[in-house]
Amino acid sequence: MSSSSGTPESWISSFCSLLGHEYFAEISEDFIEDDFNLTGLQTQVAMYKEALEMILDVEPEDDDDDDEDEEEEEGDESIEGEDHKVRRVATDRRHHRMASDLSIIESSAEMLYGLIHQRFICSRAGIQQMSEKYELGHFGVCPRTYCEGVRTLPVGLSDVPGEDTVKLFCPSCLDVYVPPNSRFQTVDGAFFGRTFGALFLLTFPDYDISKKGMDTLGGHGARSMATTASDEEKDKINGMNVQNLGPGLGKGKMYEPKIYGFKVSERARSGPRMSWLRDRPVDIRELDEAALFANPDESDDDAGLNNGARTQPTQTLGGAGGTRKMRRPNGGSPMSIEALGELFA
Amino acid sequence: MRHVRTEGTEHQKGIAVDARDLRQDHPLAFWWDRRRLQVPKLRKLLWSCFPNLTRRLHPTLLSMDSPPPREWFPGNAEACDSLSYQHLPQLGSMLPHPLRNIGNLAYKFYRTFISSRGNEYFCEIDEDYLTDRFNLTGLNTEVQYYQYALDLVTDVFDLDCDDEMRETIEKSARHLYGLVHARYIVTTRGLAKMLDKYKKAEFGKCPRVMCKSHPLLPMGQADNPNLKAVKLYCARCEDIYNPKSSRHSVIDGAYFGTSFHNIIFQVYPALIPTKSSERYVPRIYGFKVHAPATLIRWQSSEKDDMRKRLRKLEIDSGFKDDEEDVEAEDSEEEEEEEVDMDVIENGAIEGGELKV
Repeated sequence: MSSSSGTPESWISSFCSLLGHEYFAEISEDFIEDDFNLTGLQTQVAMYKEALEMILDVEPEDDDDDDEDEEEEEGDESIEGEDHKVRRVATDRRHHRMASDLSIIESSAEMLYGLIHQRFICSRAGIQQMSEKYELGHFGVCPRTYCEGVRTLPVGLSDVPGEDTVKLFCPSCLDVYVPPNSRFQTVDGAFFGRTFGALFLLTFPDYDISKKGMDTLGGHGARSMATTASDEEKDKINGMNVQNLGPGLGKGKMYEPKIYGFKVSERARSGPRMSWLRDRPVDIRELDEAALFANPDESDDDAGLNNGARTQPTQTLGGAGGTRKMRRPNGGSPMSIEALGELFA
Repeated sequence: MRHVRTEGTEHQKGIAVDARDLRQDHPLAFWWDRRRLQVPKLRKLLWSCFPNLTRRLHPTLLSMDSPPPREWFPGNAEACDSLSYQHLPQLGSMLPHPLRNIGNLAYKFYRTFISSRGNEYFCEIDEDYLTDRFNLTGLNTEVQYYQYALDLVTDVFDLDCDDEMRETIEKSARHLYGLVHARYIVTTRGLAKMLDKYKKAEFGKCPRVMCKSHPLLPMGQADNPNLKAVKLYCARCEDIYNPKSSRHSVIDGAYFGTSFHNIIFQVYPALIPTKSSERYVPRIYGFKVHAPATLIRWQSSEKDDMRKRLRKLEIDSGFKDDEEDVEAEDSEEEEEEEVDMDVIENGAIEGGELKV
């Protein structure tokens, strides 16, 4: 197979350097060449084979022989016979490829690259590459004032192409935002996928996600990660470091509407209604539903101290029967306790 | 020049122009919006319309170094290309007589424009509001060269001074304008003007995906100047965001104040958007992640508490999906499973490794 040695720049790197494609990682050719990674994409992309050749910078003219070998290895036995006939025609046609064809192939190559990209960034090599880009702040910062410019991650809201454009996931407030620059409004969200954002957080639990995007321009990105990792305070809650669970949320990091210094009451028609969205329990242990279930006595004291005021109205409102002890662990969550017990006991 | 005729007799230094003679699309057409414009009045016009200049200005006027549009110099189209705005003051002789002063004025105007880019958040303060001393109470201690600055703002400034001094005074004038602006926008007329801009989404749109481009309002985090830059408030998610553009993020938040955006919704309660419980839930291959999911559960129980509280008081909570949804959401969430950290680490990542 003739590779990209002749051309100064491979298709992949030129694609990634296009305006608006700054979020993309460069997929390694090994990943693309492994057919397992491309399972099911054939049906999703028009002119799949040509698009794949374009991505890999394979010259369509001289790949006939190689192609045949390759396809015989991988090919589906049932269609092998008719495949041969079709290919003779296809190779002839390939020589007379029109310019209009090229643009179709180009666009389906972009689509194919995007779909492979969605899978690639969830693999170990890909997520590593994305973490380097994250370190350098390539994905921009959170527009929310109280997040103080922490770095974001590109995510899609759907795994199906053509539904929505790429969004930015802020790990600090666990919300998604529209990228500030309109050039990203042409990038499909499916090329990043729904999984990447959350998977990134779980793959690199020791990142200090509350670090500002501006600081990373200083340079020592990977170092700072190592030092925070070695810190002895690595309190975990529900499988995440405590300091990484919504660090941009909670008291002091929520906006309180005020008029001439007076808070606007919740009872006003225009009063605050969305504070829950940016809230976080004062005592993060309140979220440890398993522990709360395991020893309700202990949590009773904890919760009583920290959020007595909050849970009180729930109790008086909802509580027809039921003792104090029975309701308490449920106070923080509507989720059924039985299910939790099974999972974590 | 046949489009414009002079009435030099009326005012020695003045240009009086008949608006009917001018093409509507002329780049200077807005100068003749108000008829019989006089030179001393010009600065006032520039000042008072500066928030709107970007919309009215010729699109080619992007940098100080680009040549002025040819139609400004109808007789000298060729010469025009080799010129930049810095040359405008010296262009007097090249211009047809009634436009002779315009070279100077255009240059000044252009300076004003350049320095006023990013002022799209401001509205035009009524002249009678500015001239009422009561509205300016206490500002004299806040602003350097207060009297000159006020003169400049109200356009009675006629001090002969060097450029440096002038620049200082202009800076003070901008500061003064901003501080008065914070007071003005909470008046009835100011609110109406800002409401107009809000409806046109001139302050930008909420970046939060779930807010679906709800328009924003400018706000300050402090009422004292020089503390915090302007932020943008979204009434739908009730949170504040940084402006996208760097030329907006240097505006002082005190020019809008901490109260304006709340007052506007008190005055126009019909504007309060319906709130939505819609939110982003981090997922891995369709499964919720345990840690964020617990936080989200906790938050939605907070929300339900609030809604129950409000319902008890018979206050409209402003959520679209009011009543029965509170219970429905809960049961829905119970059904969905979630993945724990350990499962992900040992399962999915190594699954990914296999693929490579």
